[in-house]
Amino acid sequence: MMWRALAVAGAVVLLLALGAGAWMISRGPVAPAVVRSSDVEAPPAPTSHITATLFFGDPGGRGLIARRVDVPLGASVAEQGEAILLAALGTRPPGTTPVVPVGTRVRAFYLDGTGTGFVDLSAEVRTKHTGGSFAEALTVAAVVNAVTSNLPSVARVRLLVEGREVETLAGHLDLAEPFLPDLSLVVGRPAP
Amino acid sequence: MRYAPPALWRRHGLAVPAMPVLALASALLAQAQAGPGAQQPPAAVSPPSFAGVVVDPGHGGDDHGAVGATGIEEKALVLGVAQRLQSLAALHGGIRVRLTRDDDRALTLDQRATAANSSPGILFVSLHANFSPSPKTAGVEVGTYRAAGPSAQEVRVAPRRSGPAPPAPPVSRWAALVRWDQAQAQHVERASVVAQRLVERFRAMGTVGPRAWFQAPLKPLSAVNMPGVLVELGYLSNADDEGALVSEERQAALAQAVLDVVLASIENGALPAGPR
Repeated sequence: MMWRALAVAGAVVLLLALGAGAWMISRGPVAPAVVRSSDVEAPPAPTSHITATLFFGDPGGRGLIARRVDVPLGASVAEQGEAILLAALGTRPPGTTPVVPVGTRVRAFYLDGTGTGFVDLSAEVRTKHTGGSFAEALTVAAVVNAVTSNLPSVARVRLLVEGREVETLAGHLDLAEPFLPDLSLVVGRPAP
Repeated sequence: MRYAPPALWRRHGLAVPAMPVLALASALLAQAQAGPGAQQPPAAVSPPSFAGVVVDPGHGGDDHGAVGATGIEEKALVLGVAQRLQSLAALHGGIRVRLTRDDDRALTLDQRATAANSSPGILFVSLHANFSPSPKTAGVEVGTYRAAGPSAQEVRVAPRRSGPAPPAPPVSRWAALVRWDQAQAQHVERASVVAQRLVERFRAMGTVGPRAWFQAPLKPLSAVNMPGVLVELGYLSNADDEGALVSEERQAALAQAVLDVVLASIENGALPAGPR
């Protein structure tokens, strides 16, 4: 009697198992299990810098040379521009000469909405300038090219000193108008 | 070629400029009536007729310009060369030379342009000495004006095209208004010819810098209403250039080279001949 009851129970279990199997096959592939973010490794952090092309003096004295430099990522075009200028006026890569007077600070960088970027530099860019139209051209081109080469939305650059328009930096180049990018003073191979 | 009187004359039914013709006829009649021994009335005040070369020694006063390793200052160096150029021209007698400054005084760039434009010349020569972050850069360079920004680019001289020259626009000379700060734009072509000849001359002297002839928005030239060139006499950051520039021989040679090119340019029509 007892064996009979056990056989019936086994048959019921077997039927239930077969039924469950048939039901699972009939409803298609198994849906992926829900995965909580705490169950997996965190995704890689967003890039915290960009690689910008900056311009420094050629030790051979022929013009500017381009160098690729890591610059902190900015939250906006204006912030990115300021970060680029800080790098351009900061530590020089080895094998280059300074073209912006040492001690010059970036006071501000802002945009006017028509593609013109305004670079406001401290007074040292004039008071500590060596003079000479060649040195003056290198200073202007290094700043203008640093901005326009890395910020596609900036087509031209206007230079200000201590927040004001100035006639020239050292008596030669007219700063009344914004400057377009000028790579004619860049010599040598592209930046490594 | 068919003669076409200007619009102003046509409007008054004239085929020839009436006022100049009438004035000339009156003068001839008065001369005939007065006879050969008659006294001439004093000449009326006329516009300045200088038409020589204006030489502008850069910087001056508190503005020392570039300073060499030995202490030579750009402002003194260029004044010396300018005065030599003036003396050579006077000696030669072929052209008159005026200086925008003949002592160590500060002048703004607009004051220099005003002085030049008030007494029109055939050429404006701005003298400077150069500087480079590298002590290796050396040589003489010559600059001409080129507008910088987008608005200024509109006044750039159109490049030469092959084929016949386009007809002149139907405007009179008096209607050609020019912005003060872009006066040089209309003289760039002629200035470029002189600049190239200067570079050739300096190259023959064996002393041309990396830019040789450069074009830039040069403020010392922008408001000058005659062909203008900016001559960088050498690099004070280079020991050889600085050593040469302090010598009287070098200064005289540079002044002579500029004068020779001016006279040759007048001779072959690149510059108009002024009164001697």
